[in-house]
Amino acid sequence: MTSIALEDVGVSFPIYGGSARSLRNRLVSSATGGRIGSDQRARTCVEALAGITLKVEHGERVALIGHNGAGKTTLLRVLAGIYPPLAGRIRIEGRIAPIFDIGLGMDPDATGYDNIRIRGLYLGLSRREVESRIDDIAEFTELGSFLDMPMRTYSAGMQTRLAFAVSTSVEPEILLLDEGIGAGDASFMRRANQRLRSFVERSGILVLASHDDGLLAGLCGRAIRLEHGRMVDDGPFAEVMERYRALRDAAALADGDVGP
Amino acid sequence: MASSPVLDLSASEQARAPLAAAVRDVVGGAREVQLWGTMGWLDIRQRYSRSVMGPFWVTLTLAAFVAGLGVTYGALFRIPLAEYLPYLTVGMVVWTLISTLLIDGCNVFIAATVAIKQMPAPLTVHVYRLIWRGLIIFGHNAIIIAAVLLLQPANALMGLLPSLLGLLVVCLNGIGFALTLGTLAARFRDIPPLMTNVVQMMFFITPVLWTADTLGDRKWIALANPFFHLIEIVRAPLIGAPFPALSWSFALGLTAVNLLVALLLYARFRWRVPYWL
Repeated sequence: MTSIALEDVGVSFPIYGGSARSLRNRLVSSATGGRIGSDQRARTCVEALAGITLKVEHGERVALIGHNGAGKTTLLRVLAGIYPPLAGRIRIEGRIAPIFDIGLGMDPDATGYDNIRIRGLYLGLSRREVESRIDDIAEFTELGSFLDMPMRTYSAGMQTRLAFAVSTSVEPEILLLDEGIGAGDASFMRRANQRLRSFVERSGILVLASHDDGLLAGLCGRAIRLEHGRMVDDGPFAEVMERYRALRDAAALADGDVGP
Repeated sequence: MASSPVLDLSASEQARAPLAAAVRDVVGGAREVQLWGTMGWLDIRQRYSRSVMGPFWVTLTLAAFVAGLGVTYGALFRIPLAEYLPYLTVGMVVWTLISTLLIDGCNVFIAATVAIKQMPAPLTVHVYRLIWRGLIIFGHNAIIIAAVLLLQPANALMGLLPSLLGLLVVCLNGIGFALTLGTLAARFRDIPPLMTNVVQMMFFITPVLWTADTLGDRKWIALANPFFHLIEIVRAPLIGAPFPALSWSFALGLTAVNLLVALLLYARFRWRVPYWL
């Protein structure tokens, strides 16, 4: 049974400027004693997520919404187990396949084919399983001879195609998608949508972060809105979106008043 | 249907039992043989893509180096070539491995940032990938050793097994170095250039080109040098030198301390590494 449970999860990033990150400053500060040291104790931290408690059950399709920097991508990374929580606890049952839009694949200098292999192995396939699926995956990407080129030569859309093709080919139970999926062109999006739908029908868990209301509406039944790293809304997709839209409209109206 | 894998990460548990989590990471990473095996192999293929000689460039460079130095320094030190050449060759090949493990070890997590931020996996996967990569290059360079040891094949055959055991100890230390340096370097970005300097300096004060005995009453310089002992346990058996009991005990002690320090440090800071990258 697949499930996601987060209990009071918090994540914060220390920000090291040019100063605190170098060893010299550490050495200098310890040599000169307390003053600078005490300054450095009070490091700047960006609180990316705080107090996130949520449960996602078998078969739910969740949309993560919120403006840029609200914590959507960070939350997805926490769900994938990439950022271990600095507070609270996560417990996730099921085979996870993340697709994040960091770009450039797993290894920018490796060819498309090699990136398929690495990604497949990361997703838990054996080398033999990867080789037996590689033709299907290559076909779905429609990248043809580009697959022999280094991944750094790919456009964002092409990278998305590859990542998506591999991650959905492993029949994951939990699919985590970041907004980069929107970088695909119309024909790809059509086929991607088909694949996502068949995935959804097999009732795995889908968590999708995007600004594309249309895409979200077609796939998701539940929405969670993040703001400044906190969950501010959670519920049926249509209701949450309605409240979000009202909020955006109000903001736009306020902006309009100020304008000429 | 097989039972689903469970991912369970708890901040309080990490604070309570960091060591157990670190051990799980170290063991779990080692289990992903296919993953780090493939990545290490691809690293090599990529580095030398479009080059005809490929990784044999390292071999060629090293062969030229050994040949040139062997003849010249052999004369300088007045050691017969049949004796000096094997000593120099094995020493250089092992030193190349150790220095790669140290320098690449600093960048072990930094260089894998993209992969670490995209896909979950035990971080130690990248450590094993590094060791494997080093061993592949070592394998290429071993050709020079084989060629030179034809001068005295009897010794070499006898010494093969103890020498391979020595290599294993070198690799274990490589894991320790990479964990420690890689974790520290993810936080303090001065470590990689610092280590490059240290390694360069170590080359000149480690008996690779010259023998420890020529130090005379300053032989302690060699004896206090951990890298000397690591090289010696691989080198001595192959060139027919007496069993290096002192070096073996030093190397085993070093391995224990090294791995312990690495594990404790990694246990303490492992959760921080993805945030530092």
